Amino acid sequence: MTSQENNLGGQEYEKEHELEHSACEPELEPSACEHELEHSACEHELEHSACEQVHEMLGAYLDLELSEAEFASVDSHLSTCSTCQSQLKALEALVDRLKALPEPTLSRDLADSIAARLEKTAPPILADSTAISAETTAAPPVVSMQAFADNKRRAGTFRYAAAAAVVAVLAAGVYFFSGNRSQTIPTLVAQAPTASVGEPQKKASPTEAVRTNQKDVVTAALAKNNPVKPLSKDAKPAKPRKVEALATVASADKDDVVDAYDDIVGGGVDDYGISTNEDGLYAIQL
Amino acid sequence: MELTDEELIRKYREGGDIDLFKVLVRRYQTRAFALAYRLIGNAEEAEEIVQDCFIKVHQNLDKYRAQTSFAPWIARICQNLCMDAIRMKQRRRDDEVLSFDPQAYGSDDECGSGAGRTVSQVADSGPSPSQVLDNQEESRLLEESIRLLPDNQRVVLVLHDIQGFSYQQIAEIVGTSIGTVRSRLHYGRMKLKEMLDPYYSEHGCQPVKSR
Repeated sequence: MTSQENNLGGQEYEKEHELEHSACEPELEPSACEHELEHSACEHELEHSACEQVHEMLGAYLDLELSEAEFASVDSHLSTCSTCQSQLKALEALVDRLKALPEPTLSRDLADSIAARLEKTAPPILADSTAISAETTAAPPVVSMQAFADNKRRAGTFRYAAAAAVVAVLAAGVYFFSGNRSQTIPTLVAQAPTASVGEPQKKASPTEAVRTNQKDVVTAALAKNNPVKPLSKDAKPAKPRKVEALATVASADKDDVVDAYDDIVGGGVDDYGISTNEDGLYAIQL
Repeated sequence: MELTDEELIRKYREGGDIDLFKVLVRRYQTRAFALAYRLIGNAEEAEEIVQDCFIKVHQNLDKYRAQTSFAPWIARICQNLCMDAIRMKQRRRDDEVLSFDPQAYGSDDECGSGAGRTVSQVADSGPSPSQVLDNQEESRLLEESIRLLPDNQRVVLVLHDIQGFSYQQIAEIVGTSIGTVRSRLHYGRMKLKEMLDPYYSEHGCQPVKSR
């Protein structure tokens, strides 16, 4: 009997406890985790989202590109999660395979081809070389106006050049009407070439020297092309050395000419009376 | 003693000796070619891009600042040129009215963006998952799969996992944030893994052995 009582007592106790338990639990945990099965599903979800978070960081963890805090959190997760451990292992294997890929080989050395292209198309970029080649001889300058028009990339420069040209034309008008032009215009013609005179001559082959000085050459060419002649005998003519360099303009690359022109726009080319039309074509004011 | 990149550039800019620039080209041409080849997928085009790249480097030498490393600077110019080429190809392809021909995607020069190709198309031209992947075949499959990645993921993956740049450097090369680099690299790797999984054992460590 005693055992039966005990048993009954135990059952009652369990029933009571169950009631208590079910009554209390919702208050303590208002989520859907009343039952053990549901609870384990919930835990699994949490684990799953933690795995997802870690999964996104695994690559950076492997690459040692995480912050200390992130690294620590991934590290602690990895110590307990075998799924993420195996993912890390697979990722590591993939990265190892990528690193081990044979490097594609060039069929030939490109240095000479590149140097040859540079010889043809671009002047070497020198820190401050403005030397003039002594080998240049006088010849009619050929400055292609079309070259300027073709270069669409320089539309912005054209706009500035146009503005500068308008100012130049207005200034020229003022001089003509003021009657004081005899002193000023010749000086302007002579000024531009002097910008580079006296600069140290750089070590370079003759051909390189020619290429490196295209900017000066164009400056000189523009000076020669300028139909505005000195009106005063006192005015200094353009330096002969510069005029000699005109020959190289004929061989100058389109882009180089534009480069050179653009550079000197800010340095007083408007003084030569150069302007642009609506299409960006450069024209020299006569 | 070998001159550093910065010394070479300084001396070249001072003296204009083209041989100094050639030294620089020889130092980086292989790496630039590897990047261009993996982004473009065609050796001839990649060579062209490398040449254009060094011409651009030359044009912009005055903008180079010694504080930054030369390799990422070249990589940036190179990847920009590659992206331009890919975009141009894509535009041309969009303009053309083509009938669907899966075979047409097999040639090298169509691998630029990987558009239109599927894993099965890559697989069709190679062994099935049950076949042995020898090293050469494995590399080929890997290269093909890389080309199937979206452009932005492929760039980041190649720059990091193959070229060895850091996240910070890649962010500067590509012109984005480190977070974006991390994310693109993650998704790129995941996609690559997904494509390659059928060809490897379940652990992803060894090629499938059975034939």
